[in-house]
Amino acid sequence: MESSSCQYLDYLVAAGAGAWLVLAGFVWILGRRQHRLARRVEKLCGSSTPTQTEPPKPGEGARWR
Amino acid sequence: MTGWWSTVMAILARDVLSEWRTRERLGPMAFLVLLTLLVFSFAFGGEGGAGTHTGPGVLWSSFVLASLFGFAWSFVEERENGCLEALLLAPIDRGALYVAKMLGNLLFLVGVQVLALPVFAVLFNVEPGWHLLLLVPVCALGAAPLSAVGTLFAALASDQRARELVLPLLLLPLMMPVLITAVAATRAVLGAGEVRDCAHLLAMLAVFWLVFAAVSLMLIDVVFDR
Amino acid sequence: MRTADERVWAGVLWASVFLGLAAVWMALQYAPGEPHMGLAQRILYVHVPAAVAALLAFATVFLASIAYLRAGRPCWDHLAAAAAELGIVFSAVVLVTGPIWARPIWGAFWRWEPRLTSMLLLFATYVAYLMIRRYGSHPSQMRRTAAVFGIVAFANIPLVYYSVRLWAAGQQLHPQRVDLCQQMRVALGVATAAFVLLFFLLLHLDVRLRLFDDALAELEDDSSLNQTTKVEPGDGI
Repeated sequence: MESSSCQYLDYLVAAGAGAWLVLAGFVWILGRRQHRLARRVEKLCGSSTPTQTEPPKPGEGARWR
Repeated sequence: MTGWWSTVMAILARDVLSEWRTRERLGPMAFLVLLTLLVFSFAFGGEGGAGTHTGPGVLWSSFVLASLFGFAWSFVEERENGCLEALLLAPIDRGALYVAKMLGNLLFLVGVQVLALPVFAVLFNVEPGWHLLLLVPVCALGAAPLSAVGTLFAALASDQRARELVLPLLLLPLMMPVLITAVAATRAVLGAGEVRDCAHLLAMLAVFWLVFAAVSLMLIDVVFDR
Repeated sequence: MRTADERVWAGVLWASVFLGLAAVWMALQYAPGEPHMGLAQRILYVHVPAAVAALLAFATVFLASIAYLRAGRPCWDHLAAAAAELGIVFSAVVLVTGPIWARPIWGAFWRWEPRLTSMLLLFATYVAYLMIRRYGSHPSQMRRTAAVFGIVAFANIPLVYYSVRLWAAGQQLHPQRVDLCQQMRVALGVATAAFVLLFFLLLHLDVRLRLFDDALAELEDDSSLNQTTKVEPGDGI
Protein backbone atom coordinates (compact mmCIF):
# COMPACT_ATOMS: atom_id res chain seq x y z
CA MET A 1 0.00 0.00 0.00
CA GLU A 2 1.27 3.47 -0.73
CA SER A 3 2.23 5.66 2.15
CA SER A 4 -0.62 8.04 1.35
CA SER A 5 -3.21 5.43 2.21
CA CYS A 6 -2.83 6.02 5.92
CA GLN A 7 -2.38 9.73 5.53
CA TYR A 8 -4.57 12.02 7.61
CA LEU A 9 -5.97 9.22 9.67
CA ASP A 10 -6.12 11.59 12.62
CA TYR A 11 -8.37 13.96 10.66
CA LEU A 12 -10.69 11.16 9.69
CA VAL A 13 -10.94 10.06 13.29
CA ALA A 14 -11.49 13.64 14.43
CA ALA A 15 -14.25 14.15 11.89
CA GLY A 16 -15.93 10.90 12.81
CA ALA A 17 -15.69 11.68 16.49
CA GLY A 18 -17.00 15.21 15.94
CA ALA A 19 -19.99 14.02 13.96
CA TRP A 20 -20.70 11.33 16.49
CA LEU A 21 -20.48 13.81 19.37
CA VAL A 22 -22.96 16.18 17.73
CA LEU A 23 -25.45 13.40 17.06
CA ALA A 24 -24.96 11.79 20.43
CA GLY A 25 -25.33 15.18 22.06
CA PHE A 26 -28.72 15.61 20.47
CA VAL A 27 -29.80 12.14 21.46
CA TRP A 28 -28.71 13.01 24.99
CA ILE A 29 -30.87 16.14 24.91
CA LEU A 30 -33.83 14.03 23.82
CA GLY A 31 -33.07 11.62 26.62
CA ARG A 32 -33.01 14.45 29.11
CA ARG A 33 -36.40 15.66 27.93
CA GLN A 34 -37.79 12.19 28.26
CA HIS A 35 -36.40 11.99 31.77
CA ARG A 36 -38.06 15.23 32.75
CA LEU A 37 -41.33 14.09 31.27
CA ALA A 38 -41.06 10.86 33.24
CA ARG A 39 -40.51 12.81 36.43
CA ARG A 40 -43.58 14.87 35.74
CA VAL A 41 -45.58 11.72 35.16
CA GLU A 42 -44.34 10.40 38.47
CA LYS A 43 -45.39 13.56 40.20
CA LEU A 44 -48.74 13.49 38.56
CA CYS A 45 -49.47 9.86 39.26
CA GLY A 46 -47.45 9.44 42.42
CA SER A 47 -48.83 12.43 44.29
CA SER A 48 -52.12 10.84 45.20
CA THR A 49 -51.67 11.92 48.82
CA PRO A 50 -52.98 15.44 49.40
CA THR A 51 -50.41 16.02 52.12
CA GLN A 52 -47.60 16.47 49.70
CA THR A 53 -46.63 20.01 50.48
CA GLU A 54 -43.03 19.97 49.43
CA PRO A 55 -42.59 22.67 46.81
CA PRO A 56 -41.01 21.65 43.55
CA LYS A 57 -37.33 22.28 43.25
CA PRO A 58 -36.43 25.04 40.84
CA GLY A 59 -36.44 23.76 37.31
CA GLU A 60 -38.09 20.53 38.19
CA GLY A 61 -41.49 20.06 36.71
CA ALA A 62 -40.96 23.09 34.52
CA ARG A 63 -41.96 22.48 30.96
CA TRP A 64 -38.95 22.15 28.81
CA ARG A 65 -40.82 23.66 25.91
CA MET B 1 -57.76 46.01 -10.64
CA THR B 2 -58.02 49.80 -10.62
CA GLY B 3 -59.76 49.56 -7.26
CA TRP B 4 -56.87 47.56 -5.88
CA TRP B 5 -54.26 50.02 -7.08
CA SER B 6 -56.21 53.02 -5.85
CA THR B 7 -56.33 51.40 -2.42
CA VAL B 8 -52.59 50.92 -2.49
CA MET B 9 -52.00 54.47 -3.59
CA ALA B 10 -54.40 55.83 -1.00
CA ILE B 11 -52.68 54.09 1.88
CA LEU B 12 -49.26 54.90 0.49
CA ALA B 13 -50.15 58.56 0.01
CA ARG B 14 -51.40 58.76 3.56
CA ASP B 15 -48.21 57.20 4.92
CA VAL B 16 -45.99 59.44 2.86
CA LEU B 17 -47.93 62.55 3.82
CA SER B 18 -47.91 61.79 7.50
CA GLU B 19 -44.21 61.04 7.36
CA TRP B 20 -43.56 64.23 5.42
CA ARG B 21 -45.42 66.28 8.00
CA THR B 22 -43.76 64.84 11.04
CA ARG B 23 -40.51 63.51 9.62
CA GLU B 24 -40.21 61.44 12.73
CA ARG B 25 -38.91 58.37 10.96
CA LEU B 26 -36.77 59.74 8.21
CA GLY B 27 -34.73 62.13 10.31
CA PRO B 28 -33.58 59.76 13.03
CA MET B 29 -33.04 56.91 10.59
CA ALA B 30 -30.93 58.97 8.25
CA PHE B 31 -28.91 60.13 11.19
CA LEU B 32 -28.54 56.57 12.39
CA VAL B 33 -27.12 55.61 9.02
CA LEU B 34 -24.68 58.49 9.18
CA LEU B 35 -23.59 57.54 12.67
CA THR B 36 -23.05 53.97 11.55
CA LEU B 37 -21.00 55.17 8.62
CA LEU B 38 -18.85 57.16 11.02
CA VAL B 39 -18.40 54.21 13.32
CA PHE B 40 -17.32 52.02 10.46
CA SER B 41 -15.03 54.70 9.10
CA PHE B 42 -13.21 54.75 12.39
CA ALA B 43 -13.26 51.00 12.64
CA PHE B 44 -11.65 50.54 9.25
CA GLY B 45 -9.13 53.31 9.42
CA GLY B 46 -10.83 55.37 6.74
CA GLU B 47 -7.87 55.48 4.44
CA GLY B 48 -8.41 56.40 0.84
CA GLY B 49 -9.28 53.54 -1.43
CA ALA B 50 -11.70 52.30 1.16
CA GLY B 51 -14.22 53.61 -1.31
CA THR B 52 -14.15 50.34 -3.14
CA HIS B 53 -12.78 47.95 -0.61
CA THR B 54 -14.71 48.16 2.62
CA GLY B 55 -16.97 51.01 1.60
CA PRO B 56 -19.82 49.11 -0.06
CA GLY B 57 -20.02 46.70 2.86
CA VAL B 58 -20.12 49.55 5.33
CA LEU B 59 -22.79 51.33 3.33
CA TRP B 60 -25.13 48.40 3.08
CA SER B 61 -24.59 47.32 6.66
CA SER B 62 -25.74 50.75 7.73
CA PHE B 63 -28.78 50.54 5.47
CA VAL B 64 -29.72 47.12 6.79
CA LEU B 65 -29.38 48.19 10.41
CA ALA B 66 -31.37 51.36 9.89
CA SER B 67 -34.07 49.50 8.04
CA LEU B 68 -34.57 47.17 10.99
CA PHE B 69 -35.73 50.11 13.04
CA GLY B 70 -37.58 51.80 10.24
CA PHE B 71 -39.64 48.76 9.31
CA ALA B 72 -40.66 48.05 12.86
CA TRP B 73 -41.85 51.59 13.16
CA SER B 74 -44.11 51.29 10.16
CA PHE B 75 -46.52 49.10 12.07
CA VAL B 76 -46.03 50.07 15.67
CA GLU B 77 -47.56 53.50 15.16
CA GLU B 78 -50.53 52.04 13.36
CA ARG B 79 -51.10 49.46 15.96
CA GLU B 80 -50.82 51.84 18.84
CA ASN B 81 -53.40 54.29 17.62
CA GLY B 82 -55.78 51.61 16.47
CA CYS B 83 -55.42 52.51 12.85
CA LEU B 84 -54.40 49.02 11.84
CA GLU B 85 -57.56 47.55 13.30
CA ALA B 86 -59.58 50.02 11.28
CA LEU B 87 -57.73 49.17 8.12
CA LEU B 88 -58.23 45.48 8.68
CA LEU B 89 -61.92 45.89 9.37
CA ALA B 90 -62.42 47.83 6.19
CA PRO B 91 -63.05 45.70 3.10
CA ILE B 92 -59.54 46.22 1.85
CA ASP B 93 -57.59 43.48 0.20
CA ARG B 94 -54.84 42.44 2.59
CA GLY B 95 -52.46 42.24 -0.31
CA ALA B 96 -53.12 45.87 -1.14
CA LEU B 97 -52.31 46.83 2.43
CA TYR B 98 -49.09 44.88 2.26
CA VAL B 99 -48.04 46.38 -1.07
CA ALA B 100 -48.81 49.86 0.16
CA LYS B 101 -46.75 49.33 3.30
CA MET B 102 -43.95 47.74 1.32
CA LEU B 103 -43.81 50.64 -1.12
CA GLY B 104 -43.90 53.05 1.78
CA ASN B 105 -40.99 51.28 3.43
CA LEU B 106 -39.16 51.20 0.12
CA LEU B 107 -39.61 54.93 -0.40
CA PHE B 108 -38.52 55.56 3.14
CA LEU B 109 -35.38 53.46 2.75
CA VAL B 110 -34.52 55.07 -0.58
CA GLY B 111 -34.99 58.46 1.07
CA VAL B 112 -32.49 57.45 3.72
CA GLN B 113 -30.11 56.23 1.04
CA VAL B 114 -30.36 59.51 -0.85
CA LEU B 115 -29.37 61.37 2.29
CA ALA B 116 -26.58 59.00 3.17
CA LEU B 117 -24.88 58.54 -0.18
CA PRO B 118 -23.25 61.98 -0.45
CA VAL B 119 -21.84 61.64 3.04
CA PHE B 120 -20.59 58.19 2.18
CA ALA B 121 -19.01 59.46 -1.01
CA VAL B 122 -17.12 62.13 0.91
CA LEU B 123 -16.05 59.94 3.81
CA PHE B 124 -14.92 57.13 1.61
CA ASN B 125 -13.32 59.19 -1.11
CA VAL B 126 -15.46 58.07 -3.96
CA GLU B 127 -14.38 59.48 -7.29
CA PRO B 128 -17.12 61.46 -8.95
CA GLY B 129 -18.26 60.45 -12.35
CA TRP B 130 -21.24 59.52 -14.46
CA HIS B 131 -20.91 55.88 -13.56
CA LEU B 132 -22.20 56.82 -10.12
CA LEU B 133 -25.66 57.14 -11.63
CA LEU B 134 -25.71 53.36 -11.63
CA LEU B 135 -25.89 53.56 -7.89
CA VAL B 136 -29.49 54.64 -8.18
CA PRO B 137 -30.83 51.34 -9.51
CA VAL B 138 -28.44 49.45 -7.25
CA CYS B 139 -29.71 51.19 -4.14
CA ALA B 140 -33.34 51.00 -5.18
CA LEU B 141 -33.17 47.34 -6.19
CA GLY B 142 -31.26 46.55 -3.05
CA ALA B 143 -33.81 48.32 -0.88
CA ALA B 144 -36.74 46.60 -2.61
CA PRO B 145 -36.27 43.01 -1.36
CA LEU B 146 -35.33 44.39 2.06
CA SER B 147 -38.65 46.22 2.15
CA ALA B 148 -40.57 43.23 0.88
CA VAL B 149 -39.40 40.87 3.56
CA GLY B 150 -39.09 43.58 6.20
CA THR B 151 -42.71 44.67 5.84
CA LEU B 152 -43.97 41.12 6.19
CA PHE B 153 -42.09 40.47 9.37
CA ALA B 154 -42.68 43.91 10.79
CA ALA B 155 -46.39 43.18 10.53
CA LEU B 156 -45.84 39.83 12.21
CA ALA B 157 -43.60 41.07 14.95
CA SER B 158 -45.46 44.27 15.70
CA ASP B 159 -47.58 42.75 18.42
CA GLN B 160 -44.98 40.47 19.90
CA ARG B 161 -43.83 41.01 23.40
CA ALA B 162 -40.14 41.19 22.63
CA ARG B 163 -40.52 42.80 19.26
CA GLU B 164 -37.26 44.70 19.31
CA LEU B 165 -35.46 41.44 19.73
CA VAL B 166 -37.64 39.36 17.50
CA LEU B 167 -37.53 41.51 14.39
CA PRO B 168 -33.74 41.51 13.95
CA LEU B 169 -33.69 37.77 14.60
CA LEU B 170 -36.27 37.28 11.91
CA LEU B 171 -34.89 39.66 9.36
CA LEU B 172 -31.12 39.47 9.46
CA PRO B 173 -30.75 35.87 8.32
CA LEU B 174 -33.15 36.47 5.47
CA MET B 175 -31.51 39.69 4.43
CA MET B 176 -28.06 38.25 3.99
CA PRO B 177 -28.37 37.24 0.34
CA VAL B 178 -29.64 40.73 -0.47
CA LEU B 179 -26.81 42.27 1.47
CA ILE B 180 -24.22 40.14 -0.28
CA THR B 181 -25.56 40.90 -3.73
CA ALA B 182 -26.12 44.61 -3.14
CA VAL B 183 -22.58 44.99 -1.81
CA ALA B 184 -21.23 43.19 -4.85
CA ALA B 185 -23.25 45.43 -7.16
CA THR B 186 -22.10 48.58 -5.36
CA ARG B 187 -18.54 47.38 -5.56
CA ALA B 188 -18.98 46.76 -9.26
CA VAL B 189 -20.18 50.32 -9.76
CA LEU B 190 -17.59 51.99 -7.56
CA GLY B 191 -14.69 49.87 -8.60
CA ALA B 192 -14.28 48.44 -12.03
CA GLY B 193 -17.67 49.73 -13.11
CA GLU B 194 -18.31 46.61 -15.14
CA VAL B 195 -21.79 47.20 -16.43
CA ARG B 196 -22.14 43.62 -17.47
CA ASP B 197 -21.50 42.38 -13.95
CA CYS B 198 -23.80 44.98 -12.59
CA ALA B 199 -26.65 43.98 -14.87
CA HIS B 200 -26.40 40.38 -13.69
CA LEU B 201 -26.38 41.47 -10.06
CA LEU B 202 -29.28 43.86 -10.54
CA ALA B 203 -31.22 41.02 -12.12
CA MET B 204 -30.51 38.89 -9.08
CA LEU B 205 -31.75 41.63 -6.78
CA ALA B 206 -34.90 41.95 -8.86
CA VAL B 207 -35.44 38.21 -8.57
CA PHE B 208 -34.97 38.40 -4.79
CA TRP B 209 -37.57 41.13 -4.67
CA LEU B 210 -40.03 39.10 -6.71
CA VAL B 211 -39.50 36.01 -4.59
CA PHE B 212 -39.96 37.81 -1.29
CA ALA B 213 -42.91 39.84 -2.51
CA ALA B 214 -44.62 36.78 -3.96
CA VAL B 215 -44.11 34.68 -0.83
CA SER B 216 -45.24 37.58 1.35
CA LEU B 217 -48.41 38.08 -0.68
CA MET B 218 -49.20 34.41 -0.34
CA LEU B 219 -48.75 34.54 3.41
CA ILE B 220 -50.25 37.96 4.01
CA ASP B 221 -53.69 36.75 5.00
CA VAL B 222 -52.14 34.70 7.75
CA VAL B 223 -50.11 37.62 8.98
CA PHE B 224 -52.96 40.08 9.13
CA ASP B 225 -55.43 37.64 10.52
CA ARG B 226 -56.15 38.86 14.00
CA MET C 1 -49.11 3.65 21.28
CA ARG C 2 -50.50 0.92 19.10
CA THR C 3 -48.28 -2.09 18.62
CA ALA C 4 -48.26 -1.92 14.84
CA ASP C 5 -46.99 1.64 14.97
CA GLU C 6 -44.29 0.72 17.43
CA ARG C 7 -43.24 -2.20 15.30
CA VAL C 8 -42.79 0.04 12.31
CA TRP C 9 -40.52 2.36 14.21
CA ALA C 10 -38.64 -0.48 15.79
CA GLY C 11 -38.09 -1.69 12.24
CA VAL C 12 -36.83 1.71 11.25
CA LEU C 13 -34.45 1.66 14.19
CA TRP C 14 -33.03 -1.70 13.23
CA ALA C 15 -32.80 -0.70 9.60
CA SER C 16 -30.87 2.40 10.48
CA VAL C 17 -28.52 0.50 12.76
CA PHE C 18 -27.87 -2.01 10.02
CA LEU C 19 -27.47 0.64 7.36
CA GLY C 20 -25.27 2.66 9.66
CA LEU C 21 -22.93 -0.24 10.21
CA ALA C 22 -22.97 -1.04 6.52
CA ALA C 23 -22.21 2.58 5.74
CA VAL C 24 -19.27 2.60 8.12
CA TRP C 25 -17.86 -0.53 6.60
CA MET C 26 -18.37 0.76 3.09
CA ALA C 27 -16.83 4.11 3.88
CA LEU C 28 -13.77 2.60 5.45
CA GLN C 29 -13.22 -0.61 3.57
CA TYR C 30 -15.33 -1.04 0.49
CA ALA C 31 -14.83 2.39 -1.06
CA PRO C 32 -11.48 2.76 -2.76
CA GLY C 33 -9.01 5.27 -1.46
CA GLU C 34 -8.16 8.50 -3.14
CA PRO C 35 -4.50 9.23 -3.83
CA HIS C 36 -4.37 12.95 -3.07
CA MET C 37 -6.43 13.35 0.02
CA GLY C 38 -5.57 10.13 1.77
CA LEU C 39 -7.87 8.94 4.45
CA ALA C 40 -9.37 12.40 4.93
CA GLN C 41 -11.33 11.88 1.73
CA ARG C 42 -13.49 9.36 3.52
CA ILE C 43 -14.96 12.18 5.55
CA LEU C 44 -17.08 12.61 2.43
CA TYR C 45 -19.27 9.75 3.60
CA VAL C 46 -20.31 11.71 6.66
CA HIS C 47 -20.13 15.25 5.32
CA VAL C 48 -22.35 14.90 2.25
CA PRO C 49 -25.07 12.68 3.76
CA ALA C 50 -25.32 15.06 6.71
CA ALA C 51 -25.84 17.94 4.28
CA VAL C 52 -28.57 15.98 2.50
CA ALA C 53 -30.25 15.24 5.83
CA ALA C 54 -30.03 18.88 6.85
CA LEU C 55 -31.71 20.04 3.65
CA LEU C 56 -34.35 17.37 4.07
CA ALA C 57 -34.96 18.67 7.57
CA PHE C 58 -35.35 22.24 6.33
CA ALA C 59 -37.76 21.07 3.66
CA THR C 60 -39.74 19.36 6.40
CA VAL C 61 -39.89 22.62 8.33
CA PHE C 62 -41.23 24.30 5.21
CA LEU C 63 -43.92 21.72 4.54
CA ALA C 64 -44.92 21.41 8.18
CA SER C 65 -45.18 25.20 8.48
CA ILE C 66 -47.51 25.33 5.51
CA ALA C 67 -49.57 22.52 6.97
CA TYR C 68 -49.76 24.30 10.30
CA LEU C 69 -50.93 27.54 8.75
CA ARG C 70 -53.58 25.70 6.81
CA ALA C 71 -54.86 23.29 9.41
CA GLY C 72 -53.89 24.93 12.68
CA ARG C 73 -53.23 21.60 14.35
CA PRO C 74 -50.40 21.69 16.89
CA CYS C 75 -48.89 18.45 15.62
CA TRP C 76 -47.71 20.25 12.48
CA ASP C 77 -46.11 22.91 14.59
CA HIS C 78 -44.32 20.25 16.62
CA LEU C 79 -43.12 18.64 13.43
CA ALA C 80 -41.73 21.96 12.22
CA ALA C 81 -39.95 22.63 15.50
CA ALA C 82 -38.48 19.14 15.67
CA ALA C 83 -37.38 19.26 12.05
CA ALA C 84 -35.69 22.60 12.67
CA GLU C 85 -33.78 21.13 15.59
CA LEU C 86 -32.66 18.24 13.45
CA GLY C 87 -31.70 20.57 10.64
CA ILE C 88 -29.49 22.42 13.07
CA VAL C 89 -27.97 19.17 14.32
CA PHE C 90 -27.17 17.88 10.85
CA SER C 91 -25.82 21.19 9.62
CA ALA C 92 -23.66 21.24 12.74
CA VAL C 93 -22.27 17.90 11.59
CA VAL C 94 -21.55 19.41 8.18
CA LEU C 95 -19.91 22.45 9.77
CA VAL C 96 -17.78 20.27 12.03
CA THR C 97 -16.67 17.75 9.42
CA GLY C 98 -16.16 20.35 6.71
CA PRO C 99 -13.37 22.34 8.35
CA ILE C 100 -11.74 19.18 9.67
CA TRP C 101 -11.62 17.90 6.12
CA ALA C 102 -10.52 21.28 4.83
CA ARG C 103 -7.59 21.69 7.17
CA PRO C 104 -5.23 19.18 5.59
CA ILE C 105 -6.52 19.68 2.05
CA TRP C 106 -6.90 23.43 1.70
CA GLY C 107 -4.52 24.36 4.47
CA ALA C 108 -7.00 26.26 6.60
CA PHE C 109 -10.07 25.44 8.63
CA TRP C 110 -12.27 28.08 7.08
CA ARG C 111 -12.03 29.55 3.64
CA TRP C 112 -15.43 31.20 3.03
CA GLU C 113 -16.14 28.66 0.40
CA PRO C 114 -19.69 28.86 -1.06
CA ARG C 115 -21.29 25.66 0.10
CA LEU C 116 -19.92 25.69 3.61
CA THR C 117 -20.70 29.37 3.97
CA SER C 118 -24.25 28.76 2.76
CA MET C 119 -24.60 25.98 5.28
CA LEU C 120 -23.36 28.31 8.00
CA LEU C 121 -25.99 30.87 7.01
CA LEU C 122 -28.69 28.23 7.08
CA PHE C 123 -27.49 27.06 10.47
CA ALA C 124 -27.78 30.64 11.74
CA THR C 125 -31.21 31.03 10.14
CA TYR C 126 -32.70 28.01 11.83
CA VAL C 127 -31.10 28.82 15.15
CA ALA C 128 -32.90 32.15 14.80
CA TYR C 129 -36.05 30.14 14.11
CA LEU C 130 -35.69 28.29 17.40
CA MET C 131 -34.95 31.52 19.23
CA ILE C 132 -38.09 33.11 17.84
CA ARG C 133 -40.06 30.17 19.15
CA ARG C 134 -38.53 30.73 22.52
CA TYR C 135 -38.83 34.51 22.81
CA GLY C 136 -42.08 35.07 21.02
CA SER C 137 -44.90 36.08 23.24
CA HIS C 138 -48.25 34.44 23.08
CA PRO C 139 -47.85 30.79 22.00
CA SER C 140 -50.31 30.85 19.14
CA GLN C 141 -48.83 34.07 17.80
CA MET C 142 -45.35 32.72 18.21
CA ARG C 143 -46.28 29.58 16.32
CA ARG C 144 -47.72 31.57 13.47
CA THR C 145 -44.68 33.81 13.31
CA ALA C 146 -42.43 30.77 13.35
CA ALA C 147 -44.45 29.13 10.60
CA VAL C 148 -44.21 32.19 8.37
CA PHE C 149 -40.51 32.35 9.07
CA GLY C 150 -40.12 28.66 8.32
CA ILE C 151 -41.69 29.19 4.92
CA VAL C 152 -39.75 32.30 3.98
CA ALA C 153 -36.49 30.83 5.29
CA PHE C 154 -36.82 27.85 2.99
CA ALA C 155 -37.58 30.08 0.03
CA ASN C 156 -34.45 31.93 1.03
CA ILE C 157 -32.22 28.87 0.63
CA PRO C 158 -31.65 29.14 -3.11
CA LEU C 159 -31.15 32.88 -2.71
CA VAL C 160 -28.50 32.21 -0.09
CA TYR C 161 -26.78 29.65 -2.24
CA TYR C 162 -26.61 31.81 -5.36
CA SER C 163 -25.57 34.97 -3.61
CA VAL C 164 -22.86 33.27 -1.56
CA ARG C 165 -21.60 31.53 -4.68
CA LEU C 166 -21.40 34.89 -6.36
CA TRP C 167 -19.65 36.44 -3.41
CA ALA C 168 -17.07 33.73 -3.02
CA ALA C 169 -16.42 33.40 -6.71
CA GLY C 170 -12.75 33.77 -6.09
CA GLN C 171 -12.75 30.99 -3.59
CA GLN C 172 -13.79 28.06 -5.71
CA LEU C 173 -12.16 25.43 -3.62
CA HIS C 174 -15.03 23.03 -3.17
CA PRO C 175 -15.05 20.58 -6.05
CA GLN C 176 -18.05 21.43 -8.13
CA ARG C 177 -18.42 18.20 -9.95
CA VAL C 178 -16.61 15.30 -8.55
CA ASP C 179 -16.11 12.14 -10.47
CA LEU C 180 -16.83 9.34 -8.15
CA CYS C 181 -16.27 5.84 -9.28
CA GLN C 182 -19.07 3.34 -9.01
CA GLN C 183 -18.02 1.95 -5.64
CA MET C 184 -17.74 5.38 -4.12
CA ARG C 185 -21.19 6.24 -5.40
CA VAL C 186 -22.65 3.14 -3.84
CA ALA C 187 -20.96 3.84 -0.54
CA LEU C 188 -22.18 7.42 -0.60
CA GLY C 189 -25.70 6.24 -1.40
CA VAL C 190 -25.71 3.81 1.50
CA ALA C 191 -24.35 6.45 3.85
CA THR C 192 -26.98 8.93 2.70
CA ALA C 193 -29.72 6.37 3.22
CA ALA C 194 -28.41 5.71 6.71
CA PHE C 195 -28.46 9.40 7.56
CA VAL C 196 -31.92 9.90 6.12
CA LEU C 197 -33.26 7.01 8.16
CA LEU C 198 -31.58 8.42 11.23
CA PHE C 199 -33.24 11.74 10.51
CA PHE C 200 -36.69 10.16 10.36
CA LEU C 201 -36.04 8.20 13.50
CA LEU C 202 -34.86 11.18 15.52
CA LEU C 203 -37.67 13.29 14.09
CA HIS C 204 -40.19 10.73 15.23
CA LEU C 205 -38.70 10.62 18.73
CA ASP C 206 -38.60 14.40 18.99
CA VAL C 207 -42.18 14.88 17.83
CA ARG C 208 -43.38 12.12 20.08
CA LEU C 209 -41.81 13.78 23.10
CA ARG C 210 -43.42 17.07 22.21
CA LEU C 211 -46.85 15.53 21.79
CA PHE C 212 -46.41 13.76 25.08
CA ASP C 213 -45.43 17.01 26.72
CA ASP C 214 -48.63 18.57 25.42
CA ALA C 215 -50.77 15.74 26.69
CA LEU C 216 -49.03 15.81 30.04
CA ALA C 217 -49.52 19.54 30.36
CA GLU C 218 -53.23 19.07 29.82
CA LEU C 219 -53.36 16.44 32.49
CA GLU C 220 -51.41 18.59 34.84
CA ASP C 221 -53.72 21.50 34.27
CA ASP C 222 -56.71 19.31 34.90
CA SER C 223 -55.29 17.75 37.96
CA SER C 224 -56.43 19.64 41.01
CA LEU C 225 -53.53 18.41 43.10
CA ASN C 226 -50.92 19.91 40.91
CA GLN C 227 -51.07 23.56 41.77
CA THR C 228 -47.46 24.08 41.04
CA THR C 229 -45.35 25.46 38.32
CA LYS C 230 -46.85 27.87 35.90
CA VAL C 231 -45.73 27.54 32.36
CA GLU C 232 -42.92 29.98 31.97
CA PRO C 233 -42.78 31.54 28.56
CA GLY C 234 -39.52 30.65 27.01
CA ASP C 235 -39.14 27.49 29.00
CA GLY C 236 -37.06 25.18 26.89
CA ILE C 237 -37.47 25.22 23.20
